[in-house]
Amino acid sequence: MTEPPLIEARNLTKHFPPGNLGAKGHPVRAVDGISFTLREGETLGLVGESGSGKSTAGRALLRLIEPTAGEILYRGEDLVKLPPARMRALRREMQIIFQDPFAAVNPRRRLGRIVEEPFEIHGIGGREERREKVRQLFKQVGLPDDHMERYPHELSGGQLQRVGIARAIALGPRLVVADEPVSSLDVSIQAQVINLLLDLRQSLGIAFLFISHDMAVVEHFCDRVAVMYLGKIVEIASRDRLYTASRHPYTEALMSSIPTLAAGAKNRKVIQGEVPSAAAPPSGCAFHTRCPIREKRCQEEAPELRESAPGHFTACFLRE
Amino acid sequence: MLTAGRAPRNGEAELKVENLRIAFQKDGGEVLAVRGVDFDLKRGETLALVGESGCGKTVTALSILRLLAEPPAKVLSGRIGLGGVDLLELPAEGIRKVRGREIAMIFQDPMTSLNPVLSIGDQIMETLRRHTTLGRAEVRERALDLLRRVEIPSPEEKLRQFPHQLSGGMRQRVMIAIALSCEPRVLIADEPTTALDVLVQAQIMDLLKQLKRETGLSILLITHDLGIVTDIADRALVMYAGRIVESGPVGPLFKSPLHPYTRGLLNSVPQIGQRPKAGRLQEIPGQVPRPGELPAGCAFHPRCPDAMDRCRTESPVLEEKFEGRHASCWLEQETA
Repeated sequence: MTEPPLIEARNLTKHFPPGNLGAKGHPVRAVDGISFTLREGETLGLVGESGSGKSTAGRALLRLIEPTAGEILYRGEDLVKLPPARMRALRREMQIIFQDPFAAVNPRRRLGRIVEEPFEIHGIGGREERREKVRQLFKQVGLPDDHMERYPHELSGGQLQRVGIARAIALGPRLVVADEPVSSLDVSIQAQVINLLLDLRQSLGIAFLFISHDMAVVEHFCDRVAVMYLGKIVEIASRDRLYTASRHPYTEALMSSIPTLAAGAKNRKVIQGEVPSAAAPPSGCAFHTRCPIREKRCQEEAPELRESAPGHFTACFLRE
Repeated sequence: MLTAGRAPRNGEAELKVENLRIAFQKDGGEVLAVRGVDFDLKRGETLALVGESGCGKTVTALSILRLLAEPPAKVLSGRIGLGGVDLLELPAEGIRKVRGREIAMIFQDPMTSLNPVLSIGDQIMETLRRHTTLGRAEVRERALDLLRRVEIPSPEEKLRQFPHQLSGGMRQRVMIAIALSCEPRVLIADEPTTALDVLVQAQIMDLLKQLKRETGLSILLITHDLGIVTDIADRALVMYAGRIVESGPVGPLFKSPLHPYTRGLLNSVPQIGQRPKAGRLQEIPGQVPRPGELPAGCAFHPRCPDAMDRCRTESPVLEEKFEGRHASCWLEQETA
C-alpha cells in the first residue's frame, strides 16, 4: 500500500487566457486545481460533462499543453520542471489515445508507417526490426497483416481506433491517457474496443487515465473513478463505492439520468439548467446553481474534498 | 389541411411507408442504402428507428420529407402515405406545405439547423407567418407561448437573442418550439439528444414526453441509443444494412429479442450495475458491411453466431412471428 504512485497530480491547474472563449476578460478556468494519483497498472476514470475540464486535465497531465500551475510527479520526478531532453525520453513511457481516430492519423500515410512512427521518432531499431515490431503490434490489436499497407480511409472507425491503440502501446508505455476512446464508435464496435483495452491492460500492466462522459463504460473499465464538474474533482472513490454509495448530488444526477435498458428512466432525477461557463463559475460550490439539495452556505463557500470512507472523497458540505 | 379525408384515430396509421428503396450514386455505380423498408407510424405513438451508423435510418427519415439531395440520392421505389396522399408523388409546392405544417423535423445539431444571423424570434415567427394567417401581434404572442411551452426561461429576452447566445440544450428547445409552431401531426426527431450532455438529454426527453401527452403528436425517433428507446418509445424498428430486421413493442422486443442482431446489440451495451464478472463485454464480431459490399443471403450472417447454410444464400423476409412482433431471420422461422 505504501508503494509510491506511478503518477501524481498535485493541484494541477490550466487556465486559458481570455479570448474568444472567455467572458469579458476573465481567464477560462478549465482545470482548477485537481489532485489525484495513479498506481502502476491501475485505471482511473475521469468523468464529467462537456466543459468539465476532463480532456484538458488529461492533456496537461502529459504536458501536451503546459499546466498553469501545479506539480506532476512521475515516479517522483516533477514533469513540469524537467528539461526538454529528459521530458522527451520520458514520453516513451506515456501515451495518449484520442476520441476521433481519423483526426489522429496522417491520412496520406500507410497504416504500417503510422504505427512505426514512434520507433522512428525515438530512433529505435533498424528498418527490418521495426517492421517486425509493427507486425506484432497489428496482431496484438487484432488487425490482419495486410492492413499495414492500407490507408486510413480504407478502414472503419473501430478498425482505425485499433491502429491508434497499436501506436500508443508501441513503445511499451507505463501510462496511457485514453480520451473518450470509444465515444465515436458504434455500439457493437465499442464493446470490441473496450474488450481489447481490457486485454491489453491485463497483459501489459499499463496504467490508464480513462476519460469519458459515459458512466456505464467507465464502470466497466476503471478501478477508481473521479467525477469532474467545472474544472474541479467533486468526488473520487473506488468503482465499487462510487457506483453503490456515491455521495455527491452531481454524481447521483449523472447516474440517474442515464436511461437503462431494463427500466428506461424511471428513477431519473432531472437536474435543471446547464453547465455554467468556466470563465465565470458560480460562487461557492460551482454546482450550487443546479443542486437539488443546496443550502445558503453552498453559495458562499467552496467545499473541499473530504474523506468520508477510506479512499472515498467528496466535496459537498451536506454529504460529509 | 392539405391532405384529404378524416384524421386517423389513435392506433391507426398516421404515416405509412411502403417498399422504400433508396440508392446513392457512387464511383459511377449505384449503392443501395435503403433496401425495401415498410412500416406504419400509428397515431399518437412514438416509434423508434434504431441502428448503427450506415444502417439507413437517417436516409429513411430524410426521404419522408423529401430532404435528400437528388442526386446523389435516388428513390428507386416506394410510397410514403400521409392521409391518402403519396408524399413521394407531390409536386415541390405540395411538399413545402407538408413540411412544418403536417410533419416537422428536428435534428441532432441544432446549431446547424438554426440561422446564425437571425434572432430566435425571427426564426420562430417566420414559420408562423409562412403557414398561418395570424397578424403581427398574434404571431409574437404565439411565439412567446411556444417558448414557454418548451420551458425556456425569460422568453421575452430569448426572442431577441441569437443562436450563438444560447446553450446546446436551449437551442434544441428552440428547434422543438419551431417544430411545434404549426401543430404538426408528426414529429421526426433525428438523434435529437446525441449532441447534448446526459443531464440536458434527460431534460429534453422529458420535454418530448410531456409534449406528446399534451398534443397527441406521433413521433418518429431516429436513434442509436437503446437506453433512449426504452425511455420514450412505444415500438421500435431495428435496422441493419438498409433493412428492418426486427420490429415490435419495446418491452417484449428488449426483453426477448427475436433477431440475433438485436440480441447482440442489447448484450454489447454496458449497463450501470451490471458489470460482468470477467469484465469483458459481449461483442458482435466483425464490422458492419459497407453499402455496396453486402454479403449474399442475410446481410448479418458473417457476424451471426447462429448462422446456418441457408443464411449464406437466401435472404430472409420480415415476417410476423408473434402478435405485433416481426423479424427477418431463418432461425426463428424454424424454432418459433
